[in-house]
Amino acid sequence: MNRWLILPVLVPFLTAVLLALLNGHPRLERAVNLVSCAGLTVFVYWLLGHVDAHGIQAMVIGGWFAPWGVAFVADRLAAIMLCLSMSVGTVVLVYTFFTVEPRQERYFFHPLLQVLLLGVNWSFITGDLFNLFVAYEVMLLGSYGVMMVGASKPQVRQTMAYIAINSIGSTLFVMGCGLVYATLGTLNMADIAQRSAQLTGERAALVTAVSMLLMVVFALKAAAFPVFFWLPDSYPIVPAGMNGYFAGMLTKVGVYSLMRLFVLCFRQPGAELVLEVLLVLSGLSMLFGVLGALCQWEVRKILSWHIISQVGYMLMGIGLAASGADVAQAGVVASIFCVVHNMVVKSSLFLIGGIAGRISGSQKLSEMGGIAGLAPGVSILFLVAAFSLAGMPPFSGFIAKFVLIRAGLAGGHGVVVFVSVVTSLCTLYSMSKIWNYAFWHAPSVSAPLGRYRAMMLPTAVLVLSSVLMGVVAEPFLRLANDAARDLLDPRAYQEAVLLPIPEPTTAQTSRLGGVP
Amino acid sequence: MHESPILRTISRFAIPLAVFLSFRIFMQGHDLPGGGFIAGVIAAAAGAMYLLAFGIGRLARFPWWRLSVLGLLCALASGFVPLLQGSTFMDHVVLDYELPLLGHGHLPSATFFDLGVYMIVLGTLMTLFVELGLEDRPWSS
Repeated sequence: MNRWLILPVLVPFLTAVLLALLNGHPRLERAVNLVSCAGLTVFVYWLLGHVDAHGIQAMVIGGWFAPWGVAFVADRLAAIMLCLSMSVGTVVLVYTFFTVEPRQERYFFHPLLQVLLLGVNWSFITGDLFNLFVAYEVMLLGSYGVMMVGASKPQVRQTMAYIAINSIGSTLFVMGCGLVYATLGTLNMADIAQRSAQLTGERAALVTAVSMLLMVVFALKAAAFPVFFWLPDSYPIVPAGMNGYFAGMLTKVGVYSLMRLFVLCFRQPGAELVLEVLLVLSGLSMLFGVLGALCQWEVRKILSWHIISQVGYMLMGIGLAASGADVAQAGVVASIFCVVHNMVVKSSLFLIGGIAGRISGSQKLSEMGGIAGLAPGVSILFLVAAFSLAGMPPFSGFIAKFVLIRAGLAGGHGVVVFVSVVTSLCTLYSMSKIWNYAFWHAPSVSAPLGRYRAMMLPTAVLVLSSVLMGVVAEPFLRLANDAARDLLDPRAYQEAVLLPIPEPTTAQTSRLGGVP
Repeated sequence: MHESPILRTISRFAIPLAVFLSFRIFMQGHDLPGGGFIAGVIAAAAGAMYLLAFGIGRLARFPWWRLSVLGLLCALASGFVPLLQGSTFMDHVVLDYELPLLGHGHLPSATFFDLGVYMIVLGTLMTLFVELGLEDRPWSS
């Protein structure tokens, strides 16, 4: 089955091409887009089951061998992330059917969405550092397009800033790739793990310095402190619905890459330094993110600032990997669980924000009000998602934070734990601010301004899965536990990627005969 | 812009030459320097010359972006063949054939990948030339 590992990349790619050719037939485009997303979602869930049962799966593209060819690897973490990417993607797609404007559809909204999915899936499944760079570029290309679609003036202005900051990030990334190749002689992640573990002395310190550069790149993409400033300005201008996907997925791709590289790959003596820096950054991200959210008075802005503070929680789990084996395990488990929880909850909050905006015709808290009376269903969805984000039991946010704080205390990092608890309380406060102004207070409109009921269904799916993750946490935690073990001990990963010698296939035999 | 008779006369010779050169460089790309990208650029240069000499009218009506998309499809399809044959995506397959006059030959699947690149480069560059030269764009309105 290994050769089908390419599908999470290939299907969105092919769909994007088909959708571009279908431009001008919106109904057909929607149908093709939905079928492709739903089909791939089924495949990635099957892949997760397969990886969970049969261990890490790997393939090397084009019939090459591992350290030289580009590897595609699905371990548990990658499969989990693929499942989330496709599930959230499908849900968001259904939601955008009710929000996207005909003008945006004519400007290639559907193909761009698939390009975005392509980039995100690709960065999850690739096992090669340079390929990860390419995947990031594809993802960014898609995100520029989706952000600009329709090209209104504020969109163009903010997208320019977003493109500028990401170009700097990409430049640093490609320089980092070059430096890794110069110091380690390989870009294959399994091979990096193998070679960096054998380094000593100055060489090891050099690799640590190089990896610090990569850390900055991924921290920028993840919007961690101090490189988060681009996010709160750019996310609110993304078309409604799609900002759910942006908020849920894009920063988490950065977090995922940090986890993949600094927990799995860089293992030279002294590599803990980067993790310790991450731990400090995580505390600052939480604090600054939530403080930024407290002084905002617009729903999408508040939610955008919260992304930064939530990224802090995930980084804290990764940072704990510098401590002893048990704490590292617990920290990475907590980080994975935080990522999963946050992708679902954050996306759903943005979708709810879109519905609230549709009902009251504004995103400013001062111009909203009384949604609880106008649309009780929406307010229940918001309450559940907001409580989950703040970490109230029995929702998924509680489990995520509980595991994380326990790991932090076990590692003796009292300060970060304290910061995370304070952040949690502030999150609750700023969520109650949205609740007070947008959902209670006197209604600003006498009846909902737009039709919103159909938009509730995809949103409810996300909110319910968040509740499910909190109530039936056991299987999810078990999966996160196994995924963390795969990351902390690279042997299984290396065996899967570096060793297999493929049997000669029909195509290869014919090649041997075909070339003179 | 002013339509220059000198430019028109030269381009009557230069454009067919450039198109031939583009074809030649594309074909030698498998074994020698050349290939889809540079051949596509040369073909687009011929297109640019046409636009300068004869105005934006006729070439602008062709939906160039569709050519790019078809090129992408072509390049992707070349990777699919080995996948369906039981090998990995983008593996290399060679099609051997026997033709009445040309005799024995082989056609590697990489040719179709390169053809895709050619189409993408030509299509994208021409889209840019036409879009930047047009007052009213066909997609807006």
